[in-house]
Amino acid sequence: MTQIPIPSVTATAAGPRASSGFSLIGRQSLAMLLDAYRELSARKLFWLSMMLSGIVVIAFAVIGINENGVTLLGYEVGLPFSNTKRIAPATFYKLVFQSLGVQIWLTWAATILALVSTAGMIPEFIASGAIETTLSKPISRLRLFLTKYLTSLLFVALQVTVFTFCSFMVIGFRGGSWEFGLFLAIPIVLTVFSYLYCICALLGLITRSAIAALLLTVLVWFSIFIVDAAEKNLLLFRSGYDIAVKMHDEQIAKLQTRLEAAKKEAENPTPPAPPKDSGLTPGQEAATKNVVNNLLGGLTRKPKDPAAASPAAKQTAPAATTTTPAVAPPAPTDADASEEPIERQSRSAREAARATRAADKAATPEEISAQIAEWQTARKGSAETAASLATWHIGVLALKTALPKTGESAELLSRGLFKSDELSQWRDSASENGGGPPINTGKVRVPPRRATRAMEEALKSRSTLWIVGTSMAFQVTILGIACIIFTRRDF
Amino acid sequence: MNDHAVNLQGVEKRYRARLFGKGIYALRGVDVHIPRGAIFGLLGPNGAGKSTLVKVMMTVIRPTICRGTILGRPVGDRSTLGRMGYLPEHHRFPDYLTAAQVVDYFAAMSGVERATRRARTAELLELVGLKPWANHRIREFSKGMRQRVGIAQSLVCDPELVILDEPTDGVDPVGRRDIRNVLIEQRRRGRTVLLNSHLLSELEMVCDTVAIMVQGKVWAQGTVDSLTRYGQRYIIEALPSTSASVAASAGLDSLAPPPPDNSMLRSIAGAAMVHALSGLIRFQSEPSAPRRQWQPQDPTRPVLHGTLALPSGETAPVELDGQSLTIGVSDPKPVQQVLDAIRRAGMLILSARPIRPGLEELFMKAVTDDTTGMVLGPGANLDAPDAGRFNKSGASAASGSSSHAHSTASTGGVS
Repeated sequence: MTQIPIPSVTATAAGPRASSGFSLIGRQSLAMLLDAYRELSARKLFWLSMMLSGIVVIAFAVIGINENGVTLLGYEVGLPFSNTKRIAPATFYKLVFQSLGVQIWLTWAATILALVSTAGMIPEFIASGAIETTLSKPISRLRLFLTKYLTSLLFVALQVTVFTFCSFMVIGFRGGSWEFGLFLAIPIVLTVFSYLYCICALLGLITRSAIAALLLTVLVWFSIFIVDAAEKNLLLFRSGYDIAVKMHDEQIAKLQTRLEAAKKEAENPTPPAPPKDSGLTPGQEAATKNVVNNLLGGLTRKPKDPAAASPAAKQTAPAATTTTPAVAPPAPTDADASEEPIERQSRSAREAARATRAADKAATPEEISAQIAEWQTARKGSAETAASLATWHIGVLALKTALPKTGESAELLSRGLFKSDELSQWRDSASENGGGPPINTGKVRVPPRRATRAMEEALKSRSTLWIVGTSMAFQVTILGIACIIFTRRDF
Repeated sequence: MNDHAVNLQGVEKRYRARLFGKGIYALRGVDVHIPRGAIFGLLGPNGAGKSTLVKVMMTVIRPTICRGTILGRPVGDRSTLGRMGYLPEHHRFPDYLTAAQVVDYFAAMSGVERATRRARTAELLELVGLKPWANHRIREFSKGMRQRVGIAQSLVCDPELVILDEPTDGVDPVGRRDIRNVLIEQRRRGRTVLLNSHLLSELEMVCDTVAIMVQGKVWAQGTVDSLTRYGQRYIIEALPSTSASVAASAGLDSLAPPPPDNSMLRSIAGAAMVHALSGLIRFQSEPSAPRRQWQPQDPTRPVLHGTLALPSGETAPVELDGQSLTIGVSDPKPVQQVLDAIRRAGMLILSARPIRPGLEELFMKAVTDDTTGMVLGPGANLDAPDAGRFNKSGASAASGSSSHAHSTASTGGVS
């Protein structure tokens, strides 16, 4: 073979000089993409991950829903809240896709697998002996690094595309609805993964070690998770205390109205007409007052029927709520506390109930004034706590703003996937007893569900732009640092 | 300088000092000129900065100072890189790819069109003898086979300048010959090749021009001929007839040169030589050990230095080591009168032969400190005071010995 002449092609070809800049970029990017695919397909973990995805989809296909409950491989599991009477099959499948498929499988388990299998890509790329040849090609270091970064996301892109497509087919065939919104999962999961992968790429570049990059990335991810959890909890308590302050305000306003009326009554004692005459007997009036107390935020005790809390929390008008059959007629106030389940009956709850009753029973202007003063003192305490919680919450929120929002970005899928009221009925009935412990402050008791609702509203009011924008800003910053390191390093 | 493929002046690379430890002054002003269409050899001891220089040229390392051009464009120009091929030292190509995929991938990165790429990949793999292995993964390959893939890869963009860093590393003799033929073919087609190797015999066989780097500087550079002219010499070996008879009586073969440890015979022969040449060569009175002009056979043995007056009025150095007389001339004419004088004295001339030093001797001279006779250790000069802080005067003072060597070489040999 020693005397093989140089091939004619080599001698005659015009060579790379003839190619334009654009086709050069295209050729290089395509080559790197193909290389990334070959690298992935050479990894066992990639196929393992694909297999697990397949298992999740199969499990997904096995779960069904009918009018009695959830079915599993044809066996029926009777569930009162999850059946076709409560929830449409398509919604049920979407819910399973979103909550199990995306929230658990794609953004947790598959993300870990993806990190494990792609953490080595950047360190291997820059390894001594491997990077020299690539660096010596007509491609700028910046473009080289960014192209490598983007092609490294191919792993997750392929995984999530295959998974979403299979889920789409399952929902189509089993749920009978072809939900194209499902494909939103591809950009969303890819974006969430890229938040973490940019950290991994930077650390891989600095440490040159896959395992160090991986462990540190998981550590950062955990920190993000902690900050996120802290922010949500602070928001929950802040919302609870804000509601408590509002409840105090309402009670004070009510007492002031009564004080006015009592004063007027004291001036003209002869007519026995009630202050705001509604044509009711005193007994009826008391009952109405209780309804108002119950519904207008005067939730000073745990409602006997949990369902009653829901319309109350929505702060609908009292007149409207009375028409809701779910609302039980207000029980006599004295009986309220005793009718609560024993475990719920805390001392503070009884005190709060007693305070409200005392306020209701006060008759003379002096008594009412004393009550107002008491309520105002109580309000002051709650307001102080609310203010300090707000300070802390804003601090943590500022920290969170700087960090990528993995959880909230993944939540965006449910915004896109479900119509605003699609889940409300199911959620009302299924998560009836959700939420943390009730907040007892001052003279009131905020039921957990009300605070949770307020928190959820606050989370929902955060714009997609804020969630994705700030996370992307984080990613751009991290990638910027990585690019600076990469372009300036001597390999 | 359009006739130069590479024309670099004053390339410097300083590595900043880390938190603990000193900085490294890897390149201390390197000037390299590679003519187009030549095979250029870069040699030097370990850590001399050869690979660093090559990496600077391929933009893998960012130089501290770099002036000059490669293929007519400034160093670091991206568009030039498409016209260059590079085989890095200790390369590790992605081992999940097949040989053909590796070559194709790097061709694509160089911007070669798909159709051209395919044809050229097949042809180059055949050229390096890997045709049957084209569709096997690199991870199955031996070191030598990977090296062949590397050669194919470096030539796939039909480069005007190929830079090969240790291309024969781990390659068997047949493979080396193959690679050599590939390089010669490149030269035939007017391509320029830069070969970085420490296998001097390899370089000697193919290189037109060489540069020797020592401690971050080019110690000497030029054609192999011009660089080795300084060491061209004649060695005359002669024995006095009397010593031949002494040897015979001692039971030794008179015509064989005396064994090196036979100091008596050596001194007899030496004394006869001094006597015979007394009118022609001025010898120093005492033998001395250091400051050997040529590569010594035994550095510990003292030799007698002298000078031979040439007709031109200049003098040529002479060394006498027993029966062996070395005259530092390349011209055979002055040697004739020395031979005549020896013959006149009735001595027996055993041999008279011209010596042309090889790259190895040149290399040894480059790494030997002129003043102390010590061979430099590997690596950049870490002991240089202030090298970590890059005090220019401090660094150049420390490298004084090598800059001295540089000046002698450039005045004596390169011109």
